[in-house]
Amino acid sequence: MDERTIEDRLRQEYFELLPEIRKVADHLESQIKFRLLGTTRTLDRYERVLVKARVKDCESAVESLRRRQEGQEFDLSRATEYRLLDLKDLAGVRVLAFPPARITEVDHVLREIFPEWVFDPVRGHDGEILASKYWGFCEASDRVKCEYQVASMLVGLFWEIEHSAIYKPAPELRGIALSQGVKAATHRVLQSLAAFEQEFERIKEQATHQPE
Amino acid sequence: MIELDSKSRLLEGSGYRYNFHRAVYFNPDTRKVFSAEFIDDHAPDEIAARMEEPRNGDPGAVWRFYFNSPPPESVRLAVERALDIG
Repeated sequence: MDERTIEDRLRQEYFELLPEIRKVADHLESQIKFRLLGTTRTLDRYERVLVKARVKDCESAVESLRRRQEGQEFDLSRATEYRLLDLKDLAGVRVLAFPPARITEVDHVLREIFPEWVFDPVRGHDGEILASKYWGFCEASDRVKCEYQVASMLVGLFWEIEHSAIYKPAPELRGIALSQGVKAATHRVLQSLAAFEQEFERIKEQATHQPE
Repeated sequence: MIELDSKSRLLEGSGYRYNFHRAVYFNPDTRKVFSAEFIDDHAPDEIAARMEEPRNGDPGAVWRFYFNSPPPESVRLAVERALDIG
């Protein structure tokens, strides 16, 4: 009988998978960067497109599975059913873009390369799409799923701080992301960022059509 | 947004505290515990109705769980331990 904890069993699974996860992340990042050259080479001075790959670290992967359980605890009677391979984001690439017109363009280009991937958007509290997220398998592995996300650069940079504060906090703050107060505050920030982008696009449109 | 704020007010106004480790709202006086997922998936008036539910003779020491899925024994015990210590 396996007397290890669920967490230890998952950690072993992680390190067995790690070389494959890295290969998937590298492959996906290279493929996306190559396909976006047409966009990234033609950016205006105020425009940005950033491609970043990441491999989920071991404890984040275990936590991610645990966070799916109500009460944030694994069910011991289902101990052998938990598998890291069920996670869709062991390897991932995030593409951040500014302004919104570039987000649409990048999303369209990548959609053509990965037509079979499953659309699984990140939604805000009102159901609005915050990021177009897709998951599937790339050529580097037929068992490690990976995902890519296309998001507003403003939102993405906010998420970098927010996620490191909210999803990787001290153990005693583990459930911070699910608290109603934090959700409300996050929602307000995202609304403000969206308002900035809309206003920027509106002013840019006006400036473009103004005689010099 | 309005709903997020009203749920926050409802929980805090009814004496519920948030346990960050377990992601549950709990009230030591009524011995009721709501998972964050349950709060997300139910309207404020439904949550309020559950808060008002009588304990029906439950011994005061037993926590009543409001989860979307009934918590298995190991989860219930781990949450109870965390709340009784906290």
